[in-house]
Amino acid sequence: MTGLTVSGTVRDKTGNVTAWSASTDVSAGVKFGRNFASGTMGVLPAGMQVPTARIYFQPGDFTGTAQPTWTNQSLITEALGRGATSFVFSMKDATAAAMTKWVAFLRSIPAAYKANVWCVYMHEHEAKLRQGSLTFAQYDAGSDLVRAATQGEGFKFGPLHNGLNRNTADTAWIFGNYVEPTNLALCDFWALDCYDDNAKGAASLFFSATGWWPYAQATGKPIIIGEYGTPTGPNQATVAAGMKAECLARPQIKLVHYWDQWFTGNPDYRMTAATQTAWLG
Amino acid sequence: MAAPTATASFSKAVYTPGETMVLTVDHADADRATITVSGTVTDTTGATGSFTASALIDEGTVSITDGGGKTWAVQSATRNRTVLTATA
Repeated sequence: MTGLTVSGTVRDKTGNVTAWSASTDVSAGVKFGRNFASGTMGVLPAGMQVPTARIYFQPGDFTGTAQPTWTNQSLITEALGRGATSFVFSMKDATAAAMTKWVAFLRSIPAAYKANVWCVYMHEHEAKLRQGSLTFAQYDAGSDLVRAATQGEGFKFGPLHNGLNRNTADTAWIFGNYVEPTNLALCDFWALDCYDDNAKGAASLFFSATGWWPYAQATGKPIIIGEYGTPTGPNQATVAAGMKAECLARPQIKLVHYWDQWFTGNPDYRMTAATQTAWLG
Repeated sequence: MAAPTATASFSKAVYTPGETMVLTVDHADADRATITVSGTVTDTTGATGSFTASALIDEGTVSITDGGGKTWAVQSATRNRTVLTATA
């Protein structure tokens, strides 16, 4: 995946010059990776590469006393050790003070990675809106604040939705009811998290006429899958391979991350050895 | 003299490698105008001939200064629009 920006000028006969620029995205194929987090993570074999990494910053990471940087975050270091060249960072602090630290973090990212860093504010906001822990006005204002700061530093920004939540009630409300920020047109990509808890298969679950794909495709924006997972077991590798094949057939999808973790109260999504090979091999 | 205005846009937000990218640069200038002069020439025998000539005032010239390693070719250029293409 490569971001492409072209720029130029228009010069009139009196010597006045006006600059212009335009950006697009030239896909070099879908990248597959996993999340990097603390907790009960899957264990990858030595040497297995992870081309793209999904990393969360926790609420308060940019409002506390510490200053996160590219080099002081162990999860970034771990991902780099696995050969990651693309990163999806999500954060949840949308205050003016937090923006100072967020910008400082962005400025700590080496230039070589800049084109392949994708930034998100308040991922899976639909569940929070449904549950009442966040209002749309709060989400929208926060999204715009973080977007402006992020894009001002030359990084990409976009919303990250609930695609198919683990919670049945959330799923009923969310699926097909995406809540977009007012300034979606100014965003650089569209993203979502999605799980296949019952191993239905991506073709019928996500990419059917009633799945999220038709909506996502119509945004016309590069698509990021922040999380994907299907419960561990003998059939996991086959289901995951099906998801991979569906994504590979759609170059609008740029990055897909497997949720390689067992989080309390949720299914154990950790990859089996066969899934590791199918997904990352 | 007024400076030109310019906007540029790609035909798609995402291209697949090998696909043709279409970049449209629209530009305008308050001073830009096309003037047309016409008239007749009469010789000593009284025979006449007509002529018409046009000129564009303050024409805009579009250039690309950074193509991201791509080779861009002008497909069409009119008074206010230049269309360029390159292979993704």
